[in-house]
Amino acid sequence: MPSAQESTALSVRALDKSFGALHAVRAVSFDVAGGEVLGLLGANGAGKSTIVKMLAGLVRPDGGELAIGGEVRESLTPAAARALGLAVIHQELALVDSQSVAENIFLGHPRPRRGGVLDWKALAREAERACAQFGIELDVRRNAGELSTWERWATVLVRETRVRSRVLILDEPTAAMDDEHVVRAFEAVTAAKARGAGVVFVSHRLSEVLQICDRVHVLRDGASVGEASTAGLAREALVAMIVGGEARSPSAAAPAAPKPIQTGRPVLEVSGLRRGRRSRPASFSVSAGEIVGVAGLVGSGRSALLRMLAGAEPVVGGQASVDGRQLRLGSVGAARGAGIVFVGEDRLTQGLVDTLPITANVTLGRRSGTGPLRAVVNHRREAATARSWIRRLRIRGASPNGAITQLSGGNQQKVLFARALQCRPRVLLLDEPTRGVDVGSREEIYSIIAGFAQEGGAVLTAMSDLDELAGFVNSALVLRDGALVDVLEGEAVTRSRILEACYGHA
Amino acid sequence: MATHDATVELLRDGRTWGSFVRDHAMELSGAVALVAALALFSVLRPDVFPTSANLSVVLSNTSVAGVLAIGLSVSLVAGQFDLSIGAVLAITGVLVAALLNHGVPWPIAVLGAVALGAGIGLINGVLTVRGEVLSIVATLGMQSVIIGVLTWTTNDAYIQITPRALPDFGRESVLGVPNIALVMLVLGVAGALAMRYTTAGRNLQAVGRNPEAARLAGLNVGGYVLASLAVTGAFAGIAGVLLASHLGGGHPEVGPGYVLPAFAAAFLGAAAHRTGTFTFLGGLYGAFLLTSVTNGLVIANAADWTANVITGLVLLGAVLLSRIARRRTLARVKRVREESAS
Repeated sequence: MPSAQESTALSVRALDKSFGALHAVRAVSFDVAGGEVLGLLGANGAGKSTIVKMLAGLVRPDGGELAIGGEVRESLTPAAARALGLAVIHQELALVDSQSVAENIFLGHPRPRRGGVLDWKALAREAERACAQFGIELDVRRNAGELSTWERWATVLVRETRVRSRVLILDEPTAAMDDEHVVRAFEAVTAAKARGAGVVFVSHRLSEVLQICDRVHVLRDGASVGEASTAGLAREALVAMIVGGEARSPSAAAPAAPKPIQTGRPVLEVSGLRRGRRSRPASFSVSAGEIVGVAGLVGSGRSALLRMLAGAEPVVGGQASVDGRQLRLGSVGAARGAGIVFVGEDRLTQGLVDTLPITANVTLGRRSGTGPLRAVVNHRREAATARSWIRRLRIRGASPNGAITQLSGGNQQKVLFARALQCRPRVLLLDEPTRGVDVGSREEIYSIIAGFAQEGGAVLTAMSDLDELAGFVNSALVLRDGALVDVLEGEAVTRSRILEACYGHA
Repeated sequence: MATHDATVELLRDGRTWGSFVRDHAMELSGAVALVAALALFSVLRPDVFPTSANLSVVLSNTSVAGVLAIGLSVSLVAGQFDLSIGAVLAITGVLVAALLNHGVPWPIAVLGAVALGAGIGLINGVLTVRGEVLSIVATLGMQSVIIGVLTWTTNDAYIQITPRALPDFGRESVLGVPNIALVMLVLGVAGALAMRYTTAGRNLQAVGRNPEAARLAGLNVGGYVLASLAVTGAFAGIAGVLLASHLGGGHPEVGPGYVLPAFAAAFLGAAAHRTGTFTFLGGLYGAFLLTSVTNGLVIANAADWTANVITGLVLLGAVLLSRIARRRTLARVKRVREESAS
C-alpha cells in the first residue's frame, strides 16, 4: 500500500446512464484515494467507457454525483473536469503531428514568451522539466508525427497533467505498446502516484492490472459486482469476478433460430494468416453449414481478421482457400470472385449509398448486369429482384424504388444482406451483423444467416455480445491482441469460457 | 432520374402535397427563380428578350457552358473537382483550328481535339489516383501548364479557321435551334440515360458518395475516379470544338471565363435536386438559367460587372443550397439510425 495516501481524490456516487433502452451504467459507486491506483475492469459493454466519458465530461450522467477533491458535481464538461484537476488520457492520442513535442505539451496552455515573441528555449526547457516529473525522457524538439505510440502517450500524459492533476484517468494505456514501453508507462504512473494523484486504470490486461493497481473495481453489464485489493488476489479469482455466471438475464436476446447441426466439408480454409510481421499466424477452417463466431475484447482484431479475408485489408502472409481453390489475398475483387462476401459493422460508412434507391443498393457490386448486357441496367428486372428480396428477407416499409434512408436500421441491414446473398456467396463474413438493430429484426437476421448456413454456406461472424454469440454459433475463434488464442466448439462455447479465453489463462 | 422514382413512391406511400412542397422546396425555388428572371427581363425589354432570335442566342451561349457542366458533373459525382476544364476548352479549340487550317479533314480534327481533352483528363486522373494528389490541386497545376503552353505556341493570337465546314456548322440552326445547342441537348440526354441505365453510371454515384462501401462491394474505386476525370476532359474537348465552331476560330485566352459558369451551372443543377446530387440535366438547367440571366442583364443594359457578381453569387448560393439539401438527407439517415438503435 502506498504511504503517500491522502484524502479521497475522486468519489463516484450512484452514477447512472441509459442510452435509449440500454441501461449502460447502473448506480455505480467507487472511490479513489490520492496516491492510489484503482483498476476499473469489465468485459465489453460492462460500462467502463461510458464511465470514463462521464468523468471526462463527454457524456452527461442521468443520475448520481461526482466529487473531485471534495468538489461535488452532478455532471462535468471537459473544461470543468480539467479545472477541477481531472486529467483523462484517452485511447486516441490527439496530437498536432506537425508540431514538436514541446509545442504539443503547451497546447492549450500559455507559452513562455520573451519580448512578446515565443521563447523557444524556455519552451523546450519547461517541457523537459515537465517530462522529468514523470521520469520520461523525450527529445522535446522532435515532431509529434515521428513519435512511437509510447512517446505519443507520454506527450499526452505530460500535456494533460501540465496543471497539477488530482485525478488521472488512463483508458487502455498499454493497448498498443510494446512490453518495454509498458514498463516505462508504469514508471510514469508510479511517479504520478508518488505526487499524490489518484489514478483510475482501465485495462483488459489483467497481469498489468495486478502489477500496477492497488485495488480493482469490477463492472458487469453496467453494474458494480465487486471490489478487491490486489494484494494476494489470484488472477483466476479476478477472471471469475469479471466473467460472473452464465447469461445475465432471460431477456438477453438469445436468438430463436436453431443452431445448424450438420456440417459438411470445409469451405473456407485459412492457414498462417498474418496481419503484421510480428503478429502470430492464424489457422482455422469453416465448413459447409457451419457458423463460426469471432470473439475477443475491444481491440483484439476481430474486424481486422474479417477484413483481411474480405481482401479489404493488406495481409503480410498466409493462405486461404474456398472449396479447395486458392484465394489471392489483399483484393476485394478476388475475394468476391472466390465467393467471399463481407458485410461491415457500420451500415452508414461501409454499406449504404444514401442517394441511390433500394434497388441499386441491393444490386451494387453485382458482377452480371440486370439488363441484356453487363453494362446495362434493366430497371424492371432490377425492381423484381429487389421485390423478391424484400419478400424473402421481410424488409418492411420498403418499395423497390424507395429511398434507403426511409428504412429503419434493421431493415437497412437486411438490404445489405440482400446485396450480399444475391452474389450467391460460399462464405459470408459478418462484422457485428445485428449492431443497432431492433430485437424483432435481430431475430430475423439470425434466421437469414442460419438459413444461408443450412443451404451449405459457411459463416464467419464477429459479435461483441457474448450471450448472443454463444447462443448462435457452432464454434468460436477467440482472439487476443491480434492473435488467435483459442477455438471453442459445441458445448464449450459459453460466455464464461469465451471470456476466460479472452483474458488468457496464464 | 433514379431518385425521382423514389419521390413518386413516397407520394404513393400516402404523403400529402404539402409535405411534397416542403421536401422539394429546392427544386421549386429554382424553377420559380428561372420563371421570375425570364419574366423580369421580358417586362424590361419586351421587344428584345422574349423573342425567338434571342432565345437562339441564349441557347448557343448555353451550349459551351452546358457541355462543360455536363462533363464536370461526371467528376463531381465521383467526388472530384476539375479546375482545368477552362484551359482544356482553350487548347482543344486552338488545336481543332490549327488542324483544320493544316488541311486535316474535320472529323479527324474534331476527334483529335476531343482525344487531347480526354488525354489531359487521364493525366489528371493518374495524378489523383496514383499520385494521391487532391484533384483540385492536380487540375489547378494542369490548368497553369496548359495555359503556359498555349501562350508559348500561339503568342495568344486568335487562329481563324479557313475551311468553312466547322464554322458553318457552329452558326447554323435546325428549326431555330442552333446546331451546337442540339449537340448539348443530345449529350445531356445521353449522359442522363447513361447515368440511369448503365451499371457504370450507378457505380460512379456509389464511388462518389460512399467510396468505402463501393470498395467493399468489389468496385474499382480508383478506376472510376480516373475514368471520371478523363470523361470530364473529353467533354471539355467537345466544348472547345463547339466554341471554336461558333466563334469561327480558336482563341487561346478564352478558357478562364468559362470555369466559374460551368461550376455554377453544375452546382445549380445539384441544388435543384432533392438530395443535392449532381445530374446532367440539372447541369443543363443550371447553364440555361445562368446564361438567360447574364443575357438578360446585357439586354437590359446593365453594367458589365453585374454578370460577374451574379455568376459568383449564383455559385455560392447554389453550393449553400446543395449543402443544405445534403445535410437534410444526412439528418434523416441519422434520425432513422437513432430510432432503430433505441
